Amino acid sequence: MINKNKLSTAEASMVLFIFIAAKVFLPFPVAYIDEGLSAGWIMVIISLCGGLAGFLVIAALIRLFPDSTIVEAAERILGPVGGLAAGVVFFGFFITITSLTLRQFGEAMISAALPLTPISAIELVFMAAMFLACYLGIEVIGRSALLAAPYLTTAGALTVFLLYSFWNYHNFFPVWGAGMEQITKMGLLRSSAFGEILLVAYLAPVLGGAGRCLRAGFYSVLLAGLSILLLVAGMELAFSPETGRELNLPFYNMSRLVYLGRFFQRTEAVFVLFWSVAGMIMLAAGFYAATFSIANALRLPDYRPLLWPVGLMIFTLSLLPPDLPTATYLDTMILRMFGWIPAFALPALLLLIAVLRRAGGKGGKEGG
Amino acid sequence: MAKKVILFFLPLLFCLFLTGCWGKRETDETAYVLALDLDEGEKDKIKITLQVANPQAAAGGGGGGAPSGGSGEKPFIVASIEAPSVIGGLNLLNSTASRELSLMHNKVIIYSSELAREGIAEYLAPLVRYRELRRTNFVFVSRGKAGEFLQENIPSLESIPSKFFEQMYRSVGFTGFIPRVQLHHFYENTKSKASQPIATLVDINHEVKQEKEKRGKEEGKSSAVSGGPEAENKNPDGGVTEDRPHEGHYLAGEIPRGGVNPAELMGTAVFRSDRMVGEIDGEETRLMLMLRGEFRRGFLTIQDPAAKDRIIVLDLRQPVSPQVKVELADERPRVTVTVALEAEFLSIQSGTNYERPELKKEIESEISKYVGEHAGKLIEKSQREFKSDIFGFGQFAKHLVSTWAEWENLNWPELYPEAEVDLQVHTRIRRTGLLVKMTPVGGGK
Repeated sequence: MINKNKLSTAEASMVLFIFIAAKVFLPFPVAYIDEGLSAGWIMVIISLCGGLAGFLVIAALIRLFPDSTIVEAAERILGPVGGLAAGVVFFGFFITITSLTLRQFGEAMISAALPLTPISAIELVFMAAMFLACYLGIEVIGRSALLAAPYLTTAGALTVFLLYSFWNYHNFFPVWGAGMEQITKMGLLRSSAFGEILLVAYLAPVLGGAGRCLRAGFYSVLLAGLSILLLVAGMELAFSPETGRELNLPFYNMSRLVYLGRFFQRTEAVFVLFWSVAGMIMLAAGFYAATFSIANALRLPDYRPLLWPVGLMIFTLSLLPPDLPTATYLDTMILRMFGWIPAFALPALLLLIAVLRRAGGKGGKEGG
Repeated sequence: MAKKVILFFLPLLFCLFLTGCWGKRETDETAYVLALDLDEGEKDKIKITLQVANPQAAAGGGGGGAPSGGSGEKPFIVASIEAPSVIGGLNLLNSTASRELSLMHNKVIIYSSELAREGIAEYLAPLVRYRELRRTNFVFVSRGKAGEFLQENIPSLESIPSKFFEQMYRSVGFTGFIPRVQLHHFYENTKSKASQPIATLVDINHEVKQEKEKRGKEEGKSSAVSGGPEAENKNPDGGVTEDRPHEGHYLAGEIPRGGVNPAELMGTAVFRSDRMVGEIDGEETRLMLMLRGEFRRGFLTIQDPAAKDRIIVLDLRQPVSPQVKVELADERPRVTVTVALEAEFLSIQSGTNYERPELKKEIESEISKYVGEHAGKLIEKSQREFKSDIFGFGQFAKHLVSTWAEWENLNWPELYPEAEVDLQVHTRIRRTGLLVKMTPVGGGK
């Protein structure tokens, strides 16, 4: 696999961070309130713990095969056919994430700012940006992410804190919300929200070492988890569980609620710009992950020739759900419920087999 | 090279998208609704009355009810329609208007008390769902007929009614006679078991309206502006009596006053779930706000304990939210509330030197006694008459349980009327204004 791109740890961390955390702009965070009620924020912490545990599994695999991508490692563990199958599963995971996210970001733009614009037109604009970013490579996405991340986190945190006049800390009570058992179970299942971290298992060669890969992965999961926690906690402060679980786009609803006197309101107009940037970077990262993973599985020397067919697949798949509720259901109840299987369980299985077979060590290329 | 040229021109191509979009709406194609009034319909289910900004009059630069720019036009237009639903009605109204109605700048949603008493859940949810309306809209309940408030509310100091509404809400901070209720709070409380919704009570003062019409006829024009303050005291000798010891004992539409704008915001509409179950006056509203921790500041008039025909006026503030503790003993809740207040002397008619520390305590206990007694009566009223926890004590009751299922089983709305409420008020007079004592008129020590 030819890949001359080089990515710094900070750039990789920010790509992964935005790839994971940009879902706060979508309907997904409502699932925490819907399932955990007043303990939605505790569910996020449990999810974060699950996500970190999942990352540790991927990290162990990276340590075992420090110069290989996860597909190359899978080929060395399972053989060419098994490796290809694992690669196709990972490709399926990334393409599902990207197409559902594309659809939801498009729908979010319609709900928030462009009510009469056709979804296909909005998606085509996103696709153009995704294509350009992926064509230029992961380092371009990484630098864009590093530039955008401070502004995105500041805008997100501001939205939460500007709502202080609507905060009601009683919304955190009863403390255990839907019940300790329920929030633990659902919280762990919702660790699928951190499934995008699987991309780190493809970055070892471009990051130049397992150590940098692990640092980037750890920081991104932690930062994304804290960002989701901040948003869900902020949402619970402003909306009671009874009304919070009704929301479609929680972040948009929060930004519409900002009201600091006559002169500071209607802030969503500003925040729509930040969402678009976050959406572009997340979608570009997803597009890159999907294209790179299938190119890697097919042992192609470059992923760029696959941008057109994969892009077309993402665009087509994103338009398959007939409506937003279906897209949201597929994302929230299927992808973010069972996403841990391809993202964490499959790498865990690979790790287990590798340990049992005493596979590992350097030299990914001969295995790939 | 060709690649670089393409990369250079590609962003320029994207600029084409900036010239417009499918959803564009020019300002001269749009009519901005400022207030939305909902009442029971006669021919259809609901009557919707809209107050729409009149850009022609606004462009004239006129203010309030004054003829604008010599055109004599009001800064708004009032239109109404009957329809089976709120949003459907707006669409129907659009068929009669040259401009597309937009709720983007709507500030107020007014429910008539008749409609509110029947339950407004079905007229509330569509407003929360509709993207043009914001949850920051204020919620009023009008005591009179639909549309009358919007038609008659012609502020004299503000150029447009929407600014009037926002400015009036500022008065919550220095009078406390109305609650500050936004659609978000209202909607939250209709869904909550822990606290019940309230809304600002509004009405038209018919005496002011008649006086204005009479004056208009005399001056030969219907919308004359007499100048001067909007609310001049019509009854300066009203004073403080046993029956009416304080100036806030009025409901909207009943304040004895003159002026030019008959619109009044005074008191609170009390709801149980989505149904209005009663009204409380301005003074009770203050006490309610103190118990909710939302009272900021207001002038309080009390009788002078040494001279019953004289009054003492204080600037009252609530520095901290009340401490509330809810316990459950033998299935009956016990609520302990401690309210802390601070005051500053504004007027001591008798001239007694209550500023002296030993006498100051007497006034502090008078204030505490007044607030304690009247707030106690209000709590009792909310339990017996309204059966509605308008103070949000239920929010603290949520701390008693650990899971949502237990909270549902507790059924606070059923428990609240039986609750035993122990109220303690502590007052400290911190300042004495710009005087530290008063010497007798005509000289002396």
